[in-house]
Amino acid sequence: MSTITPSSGAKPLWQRYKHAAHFKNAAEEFDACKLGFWLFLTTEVLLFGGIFCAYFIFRSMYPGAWREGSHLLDWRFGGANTVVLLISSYTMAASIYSIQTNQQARAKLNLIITLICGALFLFIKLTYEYIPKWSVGKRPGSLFDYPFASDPQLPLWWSVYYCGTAIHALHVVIGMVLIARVLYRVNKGYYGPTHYTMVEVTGLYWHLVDLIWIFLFPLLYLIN
Amino acid sequence: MSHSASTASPHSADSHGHEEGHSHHIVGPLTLRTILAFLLMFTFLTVAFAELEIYLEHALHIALPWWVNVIGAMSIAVVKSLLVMAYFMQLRYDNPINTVAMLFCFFALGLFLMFTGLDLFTRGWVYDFKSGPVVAGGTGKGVTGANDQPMVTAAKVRFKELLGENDVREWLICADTIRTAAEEAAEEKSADSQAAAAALNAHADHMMDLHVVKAHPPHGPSQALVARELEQLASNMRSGGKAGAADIIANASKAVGAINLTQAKATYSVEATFEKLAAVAHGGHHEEGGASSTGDVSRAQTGLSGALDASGHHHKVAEHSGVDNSAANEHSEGGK
Repeated sequence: MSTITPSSGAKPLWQRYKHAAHFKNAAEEFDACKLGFWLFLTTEVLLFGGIFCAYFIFRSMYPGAWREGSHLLDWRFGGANTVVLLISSYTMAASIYSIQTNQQARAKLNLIITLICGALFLFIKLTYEYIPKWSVGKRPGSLFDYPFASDPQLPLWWSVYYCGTAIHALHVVIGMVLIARVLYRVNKGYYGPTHYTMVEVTGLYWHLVDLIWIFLFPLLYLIN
Repeated sequence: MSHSASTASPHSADSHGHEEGHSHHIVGPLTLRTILAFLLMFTFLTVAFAELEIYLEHALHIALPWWVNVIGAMSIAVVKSLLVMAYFMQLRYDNPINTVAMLFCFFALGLFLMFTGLDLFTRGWVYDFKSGPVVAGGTGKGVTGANDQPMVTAAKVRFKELLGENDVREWLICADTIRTAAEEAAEEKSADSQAAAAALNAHADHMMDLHVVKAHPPHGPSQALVARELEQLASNMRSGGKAGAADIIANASKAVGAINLTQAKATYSVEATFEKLAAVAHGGHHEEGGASSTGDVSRAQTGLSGALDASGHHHKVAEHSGVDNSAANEHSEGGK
């Protein structure tokens, strides 16, 4: 993708955008970028697919550990995070709409709300889940040190729990960095109705984060 | 996907190209809000479904087969993800090749899960002895520090060693004295003694919390310290207009101050203390064969005030902790 050189001129930056030379037009460039990104998303799904596979296998092998482990999670925190992510997904989609209709201020507002939701998700995850759990020994694998467990396979449950949720949380962090970059560039006037590929692609990434959580939440917190 | 003439107007049908118009569907805010409403509704539904199952099992003793829960929650998750992909990610309006890529990915994921399951769960079809658990593993036996025991047992042993330490013992003897004072206060029905019992129970719960005992084990003598804390609590209650309750707490403070530590430490039992701490960790919502749904997480957050409401359940919980520690019992003897 070619870039916009910020220079003086009456037109906003997005109107002066020139697509890369090897594309016929901006539309072709947009479609190619998007297809490329969807292909990347498939690899992301397969990455989490490995964790889901581990979940299903261990769950069928050691149902007792899964039952006990799931009881040690509080669905209210997982539920709150689900709502937070769903709202952020909406504001992300709304920011794309705002850019498409050239409502720059609304786009910024929506992106900021998305960022706040992402931060809130991480805050809930850390303060109410990771830190209290880790400090009493509810840890993965060989780090396990919780004295009141009864099922001998419980450390495995925590391995799957931390693997799934921590890789997901890492995606939240990466998504937030991308959104912050988009916000910075929206502020500079980079994006508008005829050029918003990066906004759209960042949105796709953020929705994937939501999509994964839609499965992680019931699997970890509700099915027991 | 439709093609239209390019225009520069931002409110026209999103012309994306400069030379050749190539319009993309704009998903409007009304659609997005409707989808968000559906997603939130489905989230509520999936939680309600899980809670309903727990209610049926506990209140009405109707046990639904395990797959009802799984199929229910997973179907809702699939519907939610379809909504996100179709509208938020706009696959519905997008170039179909993107949908094809994603469908192929799900197909691959399906194969992945299917073949793993096929291997693990049909071994008994060929040889009977291969059915059942493939390997009775996953316990972490052999991990460094586990002393050739399952990690769950090793964690109990380590914790009981901690409970046997001198400073921790003193701290927990004080907590136990407060608990006894709370139990005595709870027997009287007056509002004052009930308030005092609740406050004392909360204090004992906090002292016996796993976050306090395990994550930040007390160091140094604590008897005078705990007595002072209770005095402070009593004076807080007095200034809050609860003189009667304050007196009871002040008495408890004196009781803590008067503990004969040498005698108390001699009769201190690691096993009994372990059970009491397990009951506190299970937070008063103890369920058969498992731990609580809230556990120590909410307790750690709410601290003293949060423990207040749970303290009423304390006695009930103490009777049945459900923790299997028979394997660890022998080892803890050495730690006393």
